[in-house]
Formats: sequence, C-alpha cells, structure tokens
Amino acid sequence: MSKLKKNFSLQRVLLLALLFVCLVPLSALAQTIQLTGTVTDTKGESLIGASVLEKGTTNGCITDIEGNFTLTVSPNATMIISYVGYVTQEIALNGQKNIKVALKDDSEMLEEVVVIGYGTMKKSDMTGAISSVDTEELTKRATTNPAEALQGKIAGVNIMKSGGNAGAGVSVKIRGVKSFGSNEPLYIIDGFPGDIDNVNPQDIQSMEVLKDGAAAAIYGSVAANGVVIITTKNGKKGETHIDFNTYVSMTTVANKLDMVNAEQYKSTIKAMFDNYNAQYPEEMETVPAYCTSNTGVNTDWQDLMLRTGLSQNYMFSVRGGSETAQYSVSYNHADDKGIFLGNNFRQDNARMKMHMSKYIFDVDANLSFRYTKSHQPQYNLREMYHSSPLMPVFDENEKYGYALAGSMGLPAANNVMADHHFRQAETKKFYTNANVSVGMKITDYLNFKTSYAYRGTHYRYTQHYPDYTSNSQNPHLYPYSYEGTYYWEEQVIDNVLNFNKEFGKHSVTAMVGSSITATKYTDNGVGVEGKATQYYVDGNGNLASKDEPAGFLDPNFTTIDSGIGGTFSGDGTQYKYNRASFFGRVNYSYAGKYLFQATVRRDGSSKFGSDNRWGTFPSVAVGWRISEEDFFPKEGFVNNLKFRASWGRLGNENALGYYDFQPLISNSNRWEGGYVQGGNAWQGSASWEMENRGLKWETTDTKNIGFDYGMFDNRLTGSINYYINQTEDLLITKRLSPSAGYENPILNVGKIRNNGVELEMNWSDKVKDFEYNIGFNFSTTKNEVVELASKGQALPSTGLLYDTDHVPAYAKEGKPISGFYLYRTDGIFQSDAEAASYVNKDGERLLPNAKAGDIRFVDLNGDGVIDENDKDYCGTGIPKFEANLNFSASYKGFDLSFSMGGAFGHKLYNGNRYFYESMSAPGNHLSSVANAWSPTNTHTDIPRPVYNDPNGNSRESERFLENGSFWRLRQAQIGYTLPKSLLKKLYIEKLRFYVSGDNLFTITGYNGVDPEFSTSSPLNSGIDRYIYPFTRSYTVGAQLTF
Amino acid sequence: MKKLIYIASICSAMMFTSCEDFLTVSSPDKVTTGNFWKSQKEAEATMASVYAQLYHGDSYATSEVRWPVEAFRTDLYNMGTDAINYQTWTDIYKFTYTNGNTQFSYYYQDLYRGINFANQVLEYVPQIPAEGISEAKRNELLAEAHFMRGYYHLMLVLNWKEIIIRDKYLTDVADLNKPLSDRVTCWNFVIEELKAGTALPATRPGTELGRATAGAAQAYLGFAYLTRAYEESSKESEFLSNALTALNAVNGYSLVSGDKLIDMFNGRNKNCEESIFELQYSSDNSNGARYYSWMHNFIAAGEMGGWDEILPNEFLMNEFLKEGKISTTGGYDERAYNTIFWKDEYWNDGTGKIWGYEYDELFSKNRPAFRRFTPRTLDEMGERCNFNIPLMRYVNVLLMKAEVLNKQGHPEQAIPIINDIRRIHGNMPPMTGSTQAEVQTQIEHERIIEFPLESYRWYDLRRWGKLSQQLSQRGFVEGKHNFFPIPLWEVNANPALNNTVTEE
Repeated sequence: MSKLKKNFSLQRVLLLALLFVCLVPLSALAQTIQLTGTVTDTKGESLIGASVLEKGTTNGCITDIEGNFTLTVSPNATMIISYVGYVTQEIALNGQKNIKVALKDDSEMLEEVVVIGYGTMKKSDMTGAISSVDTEELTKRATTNPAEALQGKIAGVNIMKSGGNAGAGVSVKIRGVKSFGSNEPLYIIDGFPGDIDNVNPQDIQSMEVLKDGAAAAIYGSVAANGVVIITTKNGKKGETHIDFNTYVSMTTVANKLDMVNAEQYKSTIKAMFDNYNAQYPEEMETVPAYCTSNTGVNTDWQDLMLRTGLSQNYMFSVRGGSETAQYSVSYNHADDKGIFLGNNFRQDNARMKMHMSKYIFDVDANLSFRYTKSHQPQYNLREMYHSSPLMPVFDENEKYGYALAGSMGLPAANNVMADHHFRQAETKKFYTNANVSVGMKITDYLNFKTSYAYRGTHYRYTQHYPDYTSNSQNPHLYPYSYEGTYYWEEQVIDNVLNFNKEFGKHSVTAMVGSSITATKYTDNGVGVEGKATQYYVDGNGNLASKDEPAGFLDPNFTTIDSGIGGTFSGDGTQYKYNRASFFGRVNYSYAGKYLFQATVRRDGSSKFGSDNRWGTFPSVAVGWRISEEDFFPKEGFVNNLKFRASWGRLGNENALGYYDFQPLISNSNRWEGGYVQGGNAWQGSASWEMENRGLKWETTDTKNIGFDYGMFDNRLTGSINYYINQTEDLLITKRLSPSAGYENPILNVGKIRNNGVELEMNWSDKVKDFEYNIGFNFSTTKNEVVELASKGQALPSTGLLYDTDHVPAYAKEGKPISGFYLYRTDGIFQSDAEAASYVNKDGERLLPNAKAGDIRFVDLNGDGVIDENDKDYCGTGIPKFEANLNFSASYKGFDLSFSMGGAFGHKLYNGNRYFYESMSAPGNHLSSVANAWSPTNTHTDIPRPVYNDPNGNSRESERFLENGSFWRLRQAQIGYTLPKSLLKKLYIEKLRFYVSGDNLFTITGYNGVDPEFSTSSPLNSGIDRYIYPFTRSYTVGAQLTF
Repeated sequence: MKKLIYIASICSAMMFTSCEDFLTVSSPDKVTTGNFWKSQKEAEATMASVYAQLYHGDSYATSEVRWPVEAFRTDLYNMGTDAINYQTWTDIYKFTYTNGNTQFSYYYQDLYRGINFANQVLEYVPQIPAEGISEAKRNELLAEAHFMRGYYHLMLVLNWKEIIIRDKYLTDVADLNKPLSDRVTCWNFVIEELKAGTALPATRPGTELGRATAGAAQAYLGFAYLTRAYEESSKESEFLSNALTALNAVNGYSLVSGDKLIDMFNGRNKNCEESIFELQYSSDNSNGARYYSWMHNFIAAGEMGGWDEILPNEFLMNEFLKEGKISTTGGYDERAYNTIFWKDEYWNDGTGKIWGYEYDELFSKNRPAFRRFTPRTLDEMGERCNFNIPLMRYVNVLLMKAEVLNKQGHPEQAIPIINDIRRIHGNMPPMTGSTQAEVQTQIEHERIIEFPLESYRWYDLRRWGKLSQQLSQRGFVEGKHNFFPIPLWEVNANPALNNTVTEE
C-alpha cells in the first residue's frame, strides 16, 4: 500500500518540477503600455491597497485611496487583481488601457463549505441535520467558554452552566437525554477530539453541530450524544492582522435563598416545639433555650459570604501568511473573582496554528496550552444556608475564636467563616494539545492524510488546614496537608484516504480511514496529619492506642515535609483505555439534485471483554434539492428547498468503567471489607461485583427527516427537522435487588426514546444602512423510557436526604427518564376535627397523626392506607419545548443585539423548600415559613410548623413541585464601531466598544433561585438542590484590529 | 484489482488481530475472581469481608444503623436531643416509617452483603487445590461460612416476616430476582446453617480471637429454636428440647462480675470468659487499617460531651430500681450502676465517680444516661473508640436456658440459674416466687436489665406477645409493625417478589 503511494508522489514531483522549468522564460519578450484602472467591491466601494500584478512577472502595484492604479505592462498581459477577503480575478487585457474591476466577496462567490467528520463538504450537498453557528455571535458573550456562548443559538441544543462558581464548566445536551452515562457531545477541534473549554471563543473560525445519526455516524461509538466540530482561525495570505479584545465584567447576586432573620427563626422553632408538645403531652420536648433568650445576634450568613464578582479578559492574536504558509498565534488571559469569598479563577491560554504547503504536501500543525488556577470556596454552601442566624461569627471564649453552633445549643452546622479562614486549597491544571498532520495530493481526486494528536491534562491539587474547629461535632485536632496529582493523556493516530471525482453529472466523494486512540491515566496523592499514634497494652492486656500531636513545627506550614513525624497516607492508581476504529463514507450526488450518503464505522473498545468488543455503526442518508428541479417555480418566493432523510446507529460505552467487563477482587483494610481478629487488623478481599455480565455496546438508533429552505431571496433561511432517537441496551447502573449482596453493576438493560421537532429560522435584511437579523429557534423534546430490565422496575434519582432518602423522581417504563412520583395533596386541615374525620371506609384514620394545619394527603388508590403505592406521576423535569429568539441590528457604526430564551411545560422539584421549609427540626429556614399555617393564618398552603413532623408534611409530595417554565433575556448588547476614515489615520482597521448585560430579567412562576440549572445525572433532571445564587453581570469591552 | 482487494483484506485482517492485543487491558491493581482463590490465605481474606458486614459501613454507621433499627422501636429508650434531627430514626421510634426508610434498608442490605461473601467462600473454598489448604482448615472455613450465613439469615428472619433465602453464589443475572420464602422454610434454612456451624472449634487461638466458635453456633441455634417454639406452637415441645440440647452444648464459658462486667462494654475486657460472640474493634491503624468507631460519642449524653442520641427511659429506670436497695452491698442491683448514670447518692458521693465529677456537676437535673459504651476516662471521649459490642453473652445462654426449662414445666430448675446470675452480676439475693408465671416474670425482668443496648428486647417482646401492651400508645399496630416491611429498594429492583410495585 505505502509503496504504491510513494511511486505516485515521485511522479508528481517530477511533473511539477518540469512545469516550473517551462514557465520561467515565457514572459521575457514584449513591448509595454500604460494601464490605468479602478478596483472596487461589488457595491462600488473602492478597495484601497488591492494588489495588481501582471501575470507571470513580479511587475505589480497597489491601489491608492480611491482604488485607482497605474502600471506599465505588456499589451497582451493578463492582470491578476487580488485583495484579502475577495475572490482573485484574472483579466486578459487584449489591448485595453483602462480597466474597471469589481471584486467579489469570498463568501458571496464560494458555496458555503461545511466541516464534517474527516473532511469538508458543500453545504448544498449535505444530507444530515447540521447547524452552523455564526461565529461572530460567539464573541459577544463575556465568557471564556465557547459552549456558553452557544446558548440559545441552535434548536435542539440545550446548554447550561454547571454551577456558577468562577471556573465552573458548561453542560451541553443535544437532542435530549440518551444515556445514563455522560450526555455531553463529542468535540472535534481542528480534526481531533478535544475539550471545548480549552478554546477561546475569539479563536473560532467555524462551529458545526452534527445532530443526527447520519451526520455523526462517522464518529461511531463516540458520537451518540452528537458532535460539535470546531475549526479555529488561521491566517490568510496577505497582510498580518493583529487583534486585541478585552472586557471587564461585574457580577452581582440577582437572586438567592431568602432565609429567616433571628426573630423569625426563634418564633418558628418555638412554634414547632409548642405544636409538638400540645400534640404529645406525654412526650414533652424542651423548647430550646435560644428560642426565648435575647442575644442580639442576627447573622445573615449569605451576606457575609457573598460579594460582587469581577472578571477581566484580555485576548491578543496575530494572524497572517503567504501563498504557501499561514499562521495564527493567540493568547488569552482571564481573571475571575467569584461572588463567594475565596472563589477565584485564572487562566492563560495560548494557541498556535500553522499551515504549510509544498509540492503535493500539506502540513497542518496546532499547538495549544492552557493553564488554570482555581480556588474554590473552602466551606460548604449547604452549611452556610443551614447556619442559624442566632450564631455569631466570632466567640472569644472558643479556642479558635470562632463561634460554634454545638457549644451554643444551636443545631449543628459548620461555622463557614471559620472554614474559610483556616482552610486553603488550590487546583491547578495544565492542558497541552498538539497535533500535526500531513496531507498528500496523490492525484487530483485522491488525497491521503495521516496525523498524530496528543492531549494531556496535568492536574495538581493542594490542601491544607491547621488544627481548628468550625463544628464541635467534628473538630480538626491536628494540622493536615494533602497534595494530589493526576496525569491524563490521549494519543490519536488517524489515517484517511479521500477520493473526490466528478463524472459528468455524477459526483462521487468517498473516504476510508482508521483511527487508533490510546488513553492513559495515573493519579496519586499523599497526605499527612500532624499526629502520631502511640500504642500501649492496657491493664487488661488489650492493645490500646492514643493519638498525640506530631510533626508540623508550625501548624501553618503547608508542605508534605512539614508533617514529618506525623501520620502519612497515600493512594494512587492507573488505568488504560484503548480504542480502534475503521470507517468509510461514500457521497454520491447526481446533477447536484439527488444526494446520497452512506457511512459505516467499526469500533473496538477495551472496556469490553473480547466477545463483545466490536460494534458496527452504519448510517444512510438521502437528500433532494427540490428547488433545482425544472418544475420548481424559479420566480416564486421560495428560492431554495432541500429535503433530507437519514438513519444511523451510534454506539456508546462511556457509562462503563475501564475494567467493568471482568469481576475484580477488592482489597480492604477497613470496616467495609475487613475485620479484626486477635485484636489486630484482618484485611479482607472479596468480589463486590457480579461475574459474567456480558456487557455490550449501548446503541442509539436515530432517524431524522427535514427540510432546508431559503425564501424571499434567501432573506429567510432555515430548516425543519423531526427526529426519533432510540437507545437500546442502555448501560445503566442497575439498582440490584439488595438481597443479591452486590455493588450495583452497570448492565445493558432497557430502551429509551427521544423524539422531537426542531425549527430554525433566520431573517436577514438590509434597508439602506440598517442591517438586521432575527433568528428564532424552537424545539420540542419528548423523552420516554420504553423498557427497563423488568416490568415495574424503578430507577431512583438521588435522594435529597443522605442521597437515598426522600427520592422524588424515578425512571419507570412509559414515562420520561426523570418522572416525579409524588403524593398528591388536597389542602390543609383547618381543624383537628376535620383531620380526625379523614378516614377510610372502615373508619380508620388515613392520617392518624394529623392535626389542624397539617396537609391532607390523598389515598389515591383508595386502598384505605396512604403508603408508597399512592404516589402518582406528576410530570417531569424535562421541558416539553424550548424556544430562543436572537436579534441583532446595525446602523452606521452602531450595533445592538439581544438574545432571549426559555423552556416550557416541565416541572421542577424545589428541594430547597424541602430542606428549609419543612419546619420539622430546628435547622435554618426560608423566610416563607412566616406564612406557615396557624389558627390566625389559615389561608396558606404552607403547613404548620411541628417538631418531628408527625403527619409527614415534608414527605415527597406535590407540595414542593412547581411549574418550571420561564422566559429569560439572556443577553443584551450595544456596540459602537468607529468610522473607518477616522481609524485609517491611526493605522487601525477596526475599533469597536460595547457594553452588555447578562441575565437581565427572567419571567417565571418558579419560586426557587433559578429555573434553569443542570444536574449531574439525567435521573435528577428538574430536582433543584442547586444552591448557587443566581447572578447577573454587566460587561464593558473593546475590540481592536490593526 | 483482484490482487489489490486480496492484499487489502490480508492487511485489514492483520490490523484486526493486532487490535485485539491493543484492546486487551487489565487492571493494574486488582485480580479477577478467576485467578484469586489459590490457597487458605485468600479464603481467610474473604472470610474477613464476611464478618465486615457486621459493621454496617464505617466509623459512624455501626451506631447509626444498629441502634436506630434494633433499639429505637423498643420500650426501653428515649431518643436523645440530637437523634430527633434524623427523620428516619424518629420514624422508627414512632412507627411512622414506610418501606422507604433508609436505616433498616441499610441493615437489610448489609446482612445480604455478608451472605453474598459467605456464598463466595462456600463456592470457592472447595475449589482451592489441595496443596493450598489442609482438609481440616477447608472444613473449618466452610463451617465458619455456614455459621455466618446462618447468623445473617437469622437476623433477617428476626426482623422481617418473610425473607429471600440466598443459598448460592450468584453469577447469573437470571438468579438475581428471587421470591420470598415462607417463614417455616426460612427457619429451617437458618437452623441447618447454624447446625453446620457447630463443627467449628470450641476455642480460637489468640491470633483468631473474635471469630465464631462452636459455642456461638450452639447459642444462636438455641435462640433460634426458642423463638420458633413460641411461633410454631404445634411443635413447641420439640423445639424446646432442641433448644435445650443446643444451649447445654455451650460450654467453657462463665459469668464475670463487678468491673469485669462493665468493662465488657468499654473496651477493657474484650472477648472475656463470658463473651461468646462479639463485634470486634481495634485501634490498630497500621497499614491504613481502620476499625474504630464513635459509638462512645453516640451513646454518651450531651452533658457528658456526647452527641445525645439514646437515653434510658423511665420504664427501664423503674425496672432497674424496682427491687430497691436490697443488694448484698446495700445498694440497688449492681447492674443498674454498671449500666446507667443517674441522680443517685452513689454517683454524688463526693468521690467523682463519673470521670472525676459528681453527677450533679455534669447534669443539671435527673436525666439518666447510659454508662454502657462510654469510656472509663474523659480523655477517651476525644479519641477514636475501639470498644467491642457483645453480641452473645453467656448470661443470655443461661437466661434462655432458664426460659426453656420453665416453659417445659420445670421452674425449679430455672430458679437456681436465675439466682446465679443475680448473685454474680447483680449482688442480689435469690428471687422470690416459685411458680412458672413468677419465674417467667423474673426472667423478663432479668432480661430487661441485662441487655440494654444489646438489641434483644424487640425479639423478646415479640416472642412473649407483649409488643402491643408495651408499645401501642407510641403508634405500634399489631400485625403491621411486628416486622419491618421489605425495603422499597428490594421492591423496586426485584420483580420476583410479587409484591406491590408502584405503577400508574
């Protein structure tokens, strides 16, 4: 194979050399004329600095400020007129002495080319559901993450920030939840899998989202969640461009949990105990002393820990190149001060891209490096919300100077200010990406490309605290230091052969290739605690021990060495993960009207045993450009209409662990797996996982039909898609029958289906100097669990209480993956008599402990008892439809844009109300408890406070379920670009200033902090235990190009 | 062209073959079940994991699962001021629990995990090649695994009315779902397992102290028969005599007295001559070992710097004090002092009996608190705790024997046993009364004051049919709360249960 290629290339080199030799002498013999001319664009505006060259010579000049030029040339010369960003024209003079040249804009002339997997394609030939992103839009959001800037721009793509801390990532979902594992799409950056966080939005040349199976199938087993293809900017031949962008952004808290003040706190707790004691006089509980004492303390813990955030971003790039080589270098620095004390994030991101061509070779290389340093709050936000307003921050009587809830008789909670003060931790990450590829034009129609890519992430984490106490139940008696590190690396080798030829009206593109991926991971950590264990034999001959301080000459020393003499601990492991893939694609089009595409990919993964290792993932797609047909009215309002249909299968195995295919013996020298004999540790080993699970690929079957359209001279463009995705052999962590005694394994069970309609429309027009663009997209999602391991199986979401208790949502057959199954409520009992008369047909009380002010739960199945069987399906956290509206306009130098979006038809389970509105134990509460039922406040839906909640008012019920629909102004921006005539004198090409605001308003009926939040597991969709305040930010920025 | 295709297919075949090697990875630090069980060493290691499930998890979990599940629903305790913050615990205390209650779900899950590991021993130990293990040791390990499998099933049968019997090592997904067995079948299985356990050695060498012995197997066998005698009245006499045979076979143990007794509960007298089976803890933390607990903090009252989770209630205090100060030393039953701190001249005699303090210096009012499972010195409160938890004591064997004999119509044979216990443990004079009923009443009294925090009370009350009498005013409903419901986790995951499943 390779020898064959070598021969081809040699021939080619010889041929080229011959041509060069022949060309040189031709231009030497001629007479001359004086040529004048003007160069403009198609709108008639003169182009300054356009290059005019007599073909085959070095004779040339540049146009002046009016676009005119004068040059002495040979009368039969051919002139080459070029200008950056315009299509180069050649004009044979044939004796003319004056020429007028109107250059066409690059983009007007060329058909739009779209990057697809392992190649590019004319947009008109596309058969898959692919959405391209206007990259200019991307640069508008004040963010370092392009995924965040993508929010609301594409139908069927759901983007949410995962937590609001500085440095938090973004979660992206394409076309609903398809897997119980990760639902994040595959990102291909400049041809290789990558991490979108590592790309600066300003560096992006183009971004394509492959939504259906046919488009993504070429990535086979890694593309089940869709693919986002990003191409970064490169220089163009011609002038060197220098860009400088900067912004400063201020973040404020727009919405937080509204907690009780000291007086409300005391009265709520007191009412809680009074109500209890009235109901259970024989088991009186003492009303805590703090309910009646007056200490004058009223701490607003959120106020103390929150501040105004500030982020700064500076981005600099240089791009340029010649005929044979182009380059781009960029650098970005961002500094983020989060809204919580102790939250800071910083990043530096440098990227270099090169392209060189010589003879038949094309060489591409990319190198990027990103460094991040992040400090996350060293206290638990839940503790902050949980802390009583009666707890002061400081207490001189305490050893460490900070007040302790436990010593004051208040409900246990950490003093978060003490945690903030004493603890320190830092995470640093170093991301390296490097790749190089060599392409060979074997013939006009045959191209071979081989490439190598390396990705590495180095992570370092350090943590330290001296001895201190923030919670009397959990004192830190000794200083502690920890350092942990991991290194993750991935190497990819691709070989791709492309064939591209037209035979008359037949056009054929074909590709075959292979890809090998090897991933390795190593982690280790070491910790030291400033104590030593002294062993001794006690009076009875038993081994006993005692801990004493050791090491740490100064408790504030942070290194591992500072703990020498103390107790060390360490851990570390590794894994290897390999994949091999073979793939091919054929595209055929007839007369540019009838389009056909077929792909197949075969993937092998080391996550499976040898029997089930390989998966084959085919796809086919057809397209019909109806508007190219003769019968299609040419003068109608529709200019462009294309029909597409596709089917494809995609694989997924990311829910699996690296060695899940084999049952492993786990060692343990602790409670969970070891024991004690003869007074000494007895290390244990056992298999915690089931043998013989026969794991295989999870596959997603996707079908898509759609239309692309252009109307009113292509002022209105867009597409409509309908899709059905069905995932089979789902890899689910199956909650085994606990009587099996195993860890819950991942098994291939069940089916899940998503279907929906997506509509994208974009109206673009220009009225004199007023240019505007309105984009609207709309998508529906219907998610259904079609089948689970067995009829009636229910997969629980994460419980709000200790993860396993108070479980509001389950995945069950016939309903969405996260369906809320809750008790129904029917108002509040207004009197004890009313509560007592709530009986079943045998006259037994349905709610035996209910009193006035308690919730009337419904015996839905009418079996005379209220139990788990009365829980009813109450909706899902997955929105029925989502819509977004984007508007941008410019007039002369001014521009304005805004972006709105919303989701509708879903429910949210307000977990924070369960935590802070239950009024059953003396923790902190939401201020809404002021509206709790009492004999004097009966028109309310919040039940009475009662200690220990005898009626179970806070059980999983629709009490905490709310409508999740919202509409939000995500961003608005106003900018001004200085006029060119002014800038020219300063040698500046472009200068724009802008101000923008993010999250300016939200219309919603939801009572929580923010109706839009992401959850770690799809089973938890819509369960709001998200306790990060909702933020609003204001940005000022400048964009400068030389 | 043909040739090309031929070459191409050979090339790709070669690529696929080398791919197979490339795609074969193995864990860098774990072995697989297939190549693990080579010798006695591995069998012993798996046995450790079998016992480990007695802990119910980590340093906190033992206390937070064991006492809420086993103690809170009985009539001897008040919940402490911290315990009431945990809804799942109060639900058990007040009988408002549903089958979703996590505490008894963990309890259930851990027992079955122990059973699964015991099944691994029973599956693989017979396959260990002869050069790796002696036949005697092989048989001993099998007997030990049978005992533990029987013990865990016994605990299940004591807490759930019907259970799933897990009598084989599960390797097939199809075997995961199994229905409940009726109670008689469950009991028969438990008894066969415990019988197999009686082949264990009578004593353990010092290095193996704490592991099951023949005595432990006989004691639990006796307990199982005694409980069955009440449940299956048609076979009462058969089960009583089987119980007696088993209890009589518990030899080589004796009662301890005075400080030796309280020291069984504070880490100073572990695995002593009265101890038959104990949950083992250790301070050994070499090589990352972790076998400590915080049970001392869990049990200790708030006034003593503990977390205040569980306290003796009035009923229990009355039981301790009701015979009055008639002991040979002129005080109450010695077991009261060995179990409780309360407002009494004994604890306020000016000698600082509670860690150097008087009761009144620590407690502002009379608030009885447990002495059991609290340390001897204040210093130890801040330390990790290595106390063992006695699971079966010889005194229990003796009291069960007395109960069997009395029920067989021989109160006169029961009385000397009771009197021995009263003398040695309580410094108390012989009991009064001699009828079968009086002896039964005396046994009930002795069991209440012997076993606080030792988890037997619920099983005693049910055996004697006294649950309603003692607990109905707290929410107990006969027929509904005698056993826990099968946990929701099981219901949701195991369709073979034929149990109701929430469906709409």
